[in-house]
Amino acid sequence: MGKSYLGEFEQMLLLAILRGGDDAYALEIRRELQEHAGRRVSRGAFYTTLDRMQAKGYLRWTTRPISNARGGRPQRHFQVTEEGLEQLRRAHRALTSLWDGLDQYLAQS
Amino acid sequence: MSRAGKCSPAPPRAAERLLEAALPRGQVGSSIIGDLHQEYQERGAQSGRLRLIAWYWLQALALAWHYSRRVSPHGIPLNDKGHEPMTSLISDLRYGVRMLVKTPLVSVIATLTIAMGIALTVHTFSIVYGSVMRGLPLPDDDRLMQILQNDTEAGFQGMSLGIHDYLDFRDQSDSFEELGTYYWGTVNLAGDDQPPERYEGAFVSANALSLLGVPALLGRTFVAGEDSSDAEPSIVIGYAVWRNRFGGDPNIVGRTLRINGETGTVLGVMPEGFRFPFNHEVWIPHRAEVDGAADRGGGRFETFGRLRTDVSVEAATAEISAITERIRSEFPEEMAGIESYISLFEHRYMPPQITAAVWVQLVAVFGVLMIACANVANLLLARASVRGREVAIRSALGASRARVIRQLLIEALVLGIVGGTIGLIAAKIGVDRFSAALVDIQKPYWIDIRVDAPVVFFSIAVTLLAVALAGTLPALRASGCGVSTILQDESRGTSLRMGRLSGVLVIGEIAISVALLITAGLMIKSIINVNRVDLGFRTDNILTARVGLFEVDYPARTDRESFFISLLDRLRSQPGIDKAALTSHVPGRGSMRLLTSIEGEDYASTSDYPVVAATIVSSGFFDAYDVPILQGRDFRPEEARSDSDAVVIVNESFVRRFLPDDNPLGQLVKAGRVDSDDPWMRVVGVAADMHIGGGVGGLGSDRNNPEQYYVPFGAFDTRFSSIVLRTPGTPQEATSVMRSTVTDLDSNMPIYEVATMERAMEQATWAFRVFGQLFATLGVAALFLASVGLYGVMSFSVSLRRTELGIRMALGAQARDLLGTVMRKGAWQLAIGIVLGLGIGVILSRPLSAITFGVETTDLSVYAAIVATITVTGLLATLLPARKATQVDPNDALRIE
Repeated sequence: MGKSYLGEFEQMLLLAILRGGDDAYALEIRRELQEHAGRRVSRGAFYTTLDRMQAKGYLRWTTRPISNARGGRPQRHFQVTEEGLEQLRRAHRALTSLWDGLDQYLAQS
Repeated sequence: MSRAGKCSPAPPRAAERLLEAALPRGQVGSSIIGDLHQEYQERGAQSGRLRLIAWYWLQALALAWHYSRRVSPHGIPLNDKGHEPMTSLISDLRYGVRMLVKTPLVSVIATLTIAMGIALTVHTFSIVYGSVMRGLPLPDDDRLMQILQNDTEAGFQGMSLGIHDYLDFRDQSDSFEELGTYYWGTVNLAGDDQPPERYEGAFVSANALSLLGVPALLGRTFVAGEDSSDAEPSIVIGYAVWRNRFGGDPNIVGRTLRINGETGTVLGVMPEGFRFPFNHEVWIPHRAEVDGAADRGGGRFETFGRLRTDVSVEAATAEISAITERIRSEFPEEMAGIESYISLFEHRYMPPQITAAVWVQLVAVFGVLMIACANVANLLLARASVRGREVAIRSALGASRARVIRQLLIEALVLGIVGGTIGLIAAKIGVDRFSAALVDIQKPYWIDIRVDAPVVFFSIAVTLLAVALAGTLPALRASGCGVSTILQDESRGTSLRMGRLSGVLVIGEIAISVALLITAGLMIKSIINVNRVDLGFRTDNILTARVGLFEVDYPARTDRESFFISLLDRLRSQPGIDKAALTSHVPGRGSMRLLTSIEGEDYASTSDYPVVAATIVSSGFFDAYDVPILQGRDFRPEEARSDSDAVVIVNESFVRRFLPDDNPLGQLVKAGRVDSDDPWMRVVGVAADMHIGGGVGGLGSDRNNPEQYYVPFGAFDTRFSSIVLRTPGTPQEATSVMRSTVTDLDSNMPIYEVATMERAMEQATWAFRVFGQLFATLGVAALFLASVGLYGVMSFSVSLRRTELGIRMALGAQARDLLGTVMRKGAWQLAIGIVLGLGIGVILSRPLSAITFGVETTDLSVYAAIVATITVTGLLATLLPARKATQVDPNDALRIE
């Protein structure tokens, strides 16, 4: 049995981080999700999913020096790990292979 | 990125605090709050301040809510689908079980401790509930009263009433719905196809059964007039008699039987379980002759009735006293010194002394339960402090204080459920055995000791109480300490505070067990005294039974005398019987107590007369029991006739008290006042003392006067007698010879109350044995639990002080010094506990005086023995961990830190 695939929201989250480059911080990731996927997600679900994916090893974070605008609080910057990338590729492969030969449906939209 | 101006105000502080509490600790939580802060600042440029604050609060609340739901008890965030905690209770439970399995030894000890506490509590509660709380199975039994009298002149208490007094109360009192009466007897049934049999019977007034409010199962109860002296004989039989003797015959009503020698009719069958007033099997009308003469003599009747709902006990007492005064004004001589009062019916057969002892026991057992809970609390405390780091991490990961408390409570609950179940099962086994031990003991019919619904509910309540007691303190303690304190320094912060709490619990445990051991010690000493008491007579190889003559068959006194004389003659000639005698009262089963005069003494008033124990005996009685006649002679067979000379045999104590100066032989004694018509009886012999007893516990109060005299069958007219047979072999083997000898004389006469003398004495002393064993069990259980508790706490505190002890060792402290340091703490706890316990013990043991034997409740030897026991046990429990302390290797101890 193969490993299960990333969930839809997890994929979106990882892609949004990748789009943010090296500088993906939480507010930016949320904005990316909203702009590109039209996805408004609750703050709590957003953070717990990030933490869970970190626990699974799909992403990691570092903190940057503290700025005043944040009330002296640290800011986390997220990066997708090699394993996270592999998971994204697997998901993409599976989807493309399923879409293969179904171009007529794609064209319809 | 910070487009917001620096002047923007900071987010509401309270909301930030909420977030700090709810979010995971550390950089994760902090960065989330930072993100929110940043967004707040960015929005601040565009929105009004109020809207901004509202927005921030909404975000904070949503986040706090999300994290409080989405974090497992371990503090680990859960997935979005949130199926790990099914609203977290089950997961808490599962986690609790897992934690208990992880520390099996602690869990097993804690479970067994709880089981032991609950088993003892439930067992004792079953006894208390079954004997004093459940009450009579009669409607409104709390209003069922009896009227009793004291004779202040003669010194008699709790007397039943003369028939005339009963009639006066019945006619003049308004306080009762109705007043009925009864007296005890035995009823012989014959005239069917079965051999005659004698049953415990109540001789009742016609209204006695109907006023109780229990209708007959078949037929009817008595109606007015059926108790008059000229009424036809009739009987109402109990369920057991109906089933066993008559095979449940549906046509039993209307059948004629020989009832105590007369032909009478069965009127009805009472329902199962009805054995009013004590443990009676059949009821017949008393058919007493009530003449209207001025003479208020006659038999005595137990008088009872249900108090009217609108009448208080005080009002009824006042009315009864007023009626007594009215009777006294009419019959000043007969009523001299008589006081009347009312009391609850069940107290007639469940004396307040026994009730008090039973309640003391329940208090005692709650003491044991508290010790058990304190032990479990200590175990959980110890574990909680070991788990301090775990709890702190969980708090840091976002588990709220309530969550942590709940988790620890659930662990205690799991312990409680398992322990409670084991305890209930153990209690059930104990109760069954206890009931089996009581099965042939004469006790009121409503006393039914078993594990039933109320007892089970009680056990559940007790279990929850135990869980609350054992779990709450550790949970509050463990969760209440500051997270940073524990994380920074595990061994100081929590542990010291928990140590102090444990210390208090241990002192409490010691105090309770000292108190319980005192009650146990008094009861054990009583048992020893009872077993050691020199009865003054043999109990081995003796068989006893009782016979009763019917007035119809033996109408004249001489008929009865002849019967007893020929019975004795025949018994003596039977093979397999060494010695035979008759007596009104078998030793150990009490005696008559009579107002007595000694010739030559002056008695100014009734209260000056001594009340002395008296027994009717045949010739050969002392010989059968191997009691020496110290002076003079035994009765002669012909003295069983009323026309012979009036003679009496007194015992040594009697001589010592009443005839100390003269030769007792030839002195004159009278059963009654000096001026009464009773004959003066000449002392013909002095017998050695016999412990004949009576009263609560059978052997009676050790403070009872041992003076006693014996009169021959000729001196008193009696229809009842006990047979005493000394046999060469097993006494039971003589039963059939005894029975056939009696039926040869009178085919309608059964023997009853057949028992060996040893069994009779056991029955007479059951209270000491039963209560003694129970109190002893409780005391030993308390001692055991307290020792385990002390040991546990001491070894735990030593293990916490390893570092400190190690440093001391490294600095040159001697093992002896360390031993002293550790022991001192234990010794202090022990000393405080003992002092407190002695105080509680004195109070707790006071109500026991009624059931102790030969022991004052302030018996110094018992107190000293208990103090010695608990000191030795306590010091041992301290010494073992203390020795461990001296074996600490400084290197190891410091490395751990």
